[in-house]
Amino acid sequence: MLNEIKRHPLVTNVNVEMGNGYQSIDEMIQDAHDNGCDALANCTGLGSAKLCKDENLIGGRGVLLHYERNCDRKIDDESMEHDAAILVEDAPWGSSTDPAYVIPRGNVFVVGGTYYENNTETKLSENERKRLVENADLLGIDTSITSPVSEWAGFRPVRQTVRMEIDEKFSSESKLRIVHSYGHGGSGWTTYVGAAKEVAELLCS
Amino acid sequence: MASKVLVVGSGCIGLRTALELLRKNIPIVLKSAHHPLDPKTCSFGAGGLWMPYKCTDKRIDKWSKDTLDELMQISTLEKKEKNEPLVEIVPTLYLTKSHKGPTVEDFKNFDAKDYFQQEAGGGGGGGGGGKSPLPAWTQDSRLAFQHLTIDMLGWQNQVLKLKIPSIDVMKDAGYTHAWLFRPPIVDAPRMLMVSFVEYLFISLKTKLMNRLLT
Repeated sequence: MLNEIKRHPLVTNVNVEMGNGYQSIDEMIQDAHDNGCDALANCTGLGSAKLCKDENLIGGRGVLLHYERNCDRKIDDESMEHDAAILVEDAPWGSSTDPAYVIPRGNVFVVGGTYYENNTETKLSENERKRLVENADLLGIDTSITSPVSEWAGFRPVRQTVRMEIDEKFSSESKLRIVHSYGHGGSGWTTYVGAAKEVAELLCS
Repeated sequence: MASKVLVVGSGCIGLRTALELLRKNIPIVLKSAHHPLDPKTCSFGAGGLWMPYKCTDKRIDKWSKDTLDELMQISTLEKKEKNEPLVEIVPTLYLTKSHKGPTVEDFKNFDAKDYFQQEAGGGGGGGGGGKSPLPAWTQDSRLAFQHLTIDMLGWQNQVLKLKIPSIDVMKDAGYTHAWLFRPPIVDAPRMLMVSFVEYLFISLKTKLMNRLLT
């Protein structure tokens, strides 16, 4: 029994705020060695553009407004009682670079959006804010009497194909088993469980 | 077989990978440039709607199915306790100005053998169901996916009672068709928090255990 527990030494070194983090894959490899690891899972998203010098990985900028879930709605008919998510990528409400959508998520409505590649602006412009309010209005939020509670801009890790593989080159050089899992684009929360299982398989095979 | 893994990154991909390894009793070290609950990160801000989007990699059919399995399971377990679910199944509407679905034309050379082969393979290729142009994921029965005209949507909504723009407004804007399906939506910030707490809990428990043993 005691031996069985001893064989499960899951002691971990928690460090989830490293500021700028690693500067290169070599630093990650060194840190893995320093921590007595024999494997490395690289799940750094857009960070891999720098860490792995991956030119195929770019940021897909998205902007959002958040409205409270119980905010005022434009629906006159009170018998309409259920929230729905609405997504539009066709004109006139949306386009593939400026989709219009509302997603009920927890205690907020998330209203989007944009999909701008290689745009690194971290703040919302006045025009973007205006268009998002218009989207909210089109999709049923009464923007004449309700205001957003917060706003957000971020960058999807966009890549032609997800990089999910054993890194043969660095694995043999470093004697670590290195697995990459990054570039899930706008589908992180759609793929995260399957991606995690595949990394575990690649590490354990 | 890895005996100890350095996991770098603590967004939804990194955190879930860390948990997957811990659940398999593989020790890990987790490092990240940003805290998992840093509101600036992509995972934190994301809408959390399950729908393969802007991701052209064919392998995501399998990854997204695994994810759908887990999210549906969480949602079923949560149904007993009504307050603040981590996963909510939400009727979702995707409006289009053209048909974008299967037509009679697509099934002109329909071969039942192909149809069943595609289904068995998890709907590989550009779409399942004969030569349907719809993506493969739309065939998963749990999503109750329907391809409708705006009029059909209007009829259904007399029963569904969804808060959506009126049929006239959608038609005036030129929208003729809609996808209607029921995907899970993850409360992204809370799911990150719960995953991070699970991670801390396992770490702490193990540290304590090791201290007791030495």
